[in-house]
Amino acid sequence: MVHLVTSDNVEFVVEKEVVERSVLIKNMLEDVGESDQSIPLANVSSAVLRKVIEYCEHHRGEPLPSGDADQNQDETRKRTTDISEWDQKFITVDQEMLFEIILAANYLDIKSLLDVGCKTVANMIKGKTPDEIRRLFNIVNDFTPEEEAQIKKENEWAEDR
Amino acid sequence: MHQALFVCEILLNIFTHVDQFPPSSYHPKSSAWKSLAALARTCKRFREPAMDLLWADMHRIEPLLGCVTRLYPVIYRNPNMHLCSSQDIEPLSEHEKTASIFTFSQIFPPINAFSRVCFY
Repeated sequence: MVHLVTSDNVEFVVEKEVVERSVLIKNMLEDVGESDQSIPLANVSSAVLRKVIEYCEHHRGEPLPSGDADQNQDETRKRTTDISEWDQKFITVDQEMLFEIILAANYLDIKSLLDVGCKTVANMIKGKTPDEIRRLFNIVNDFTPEEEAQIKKENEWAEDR
Repeated sequence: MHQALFVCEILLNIFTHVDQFPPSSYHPKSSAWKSLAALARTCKRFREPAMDLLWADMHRIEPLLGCVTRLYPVIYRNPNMHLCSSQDIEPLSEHEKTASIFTFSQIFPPINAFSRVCFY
């Protein structure tokens, strides 16, 4: 079993097979070897780690992405068209939690979870105007009207379809 | 804006998924292009990664000619050259009638250099 301590000082005891879906933790365990010492996860809160562990438990035993570039490209293509029903349900959370899961997946190096989160955000963007995207993600428009008009002009071929 | 959107790898991952939206009935890339174009205009942080993906796979010359004034400093390194205007590219239409083979490299040999300088 592996002991993980979150940023809000909550300890989780997780099976090694489950937690090793995180490449970061897998590498840590390989470097340190068998140890009862807790692994501090300063960037992950208990609420987020609970969700991450739920994901890792569901996907335990599945093959991890390999380092082979071509295979990774194929996997990426497949991933972009498919989110399994379970993953869709799992990732149906409020926007704050969605981005926190993405941050945690990026930090813990769990590629499949990162892809599920990023695909979900991509789907939220689909078909929206710049104004709608700004409102959705609370983004400030830091372009001058001239700068924005210039970009629109350059990309007119893409917008006018 | 959530701090996740300040992380370059995350932003690129999201935009890469946007770039692979399924094709529409009338154009294989139109919904991806539209969304990337919208992202490029959302804020300065989004502009570069969205433009990189949008302009990465260009099979037509029109988009490049559409922003030819932007390419001017790269194309016309000679400071004595005149500013490029729409009249400057009109001769292309004349040559179009006689040219049997038309490739980017015959007109603008350092096209890859343009891309790097202008869009990266």
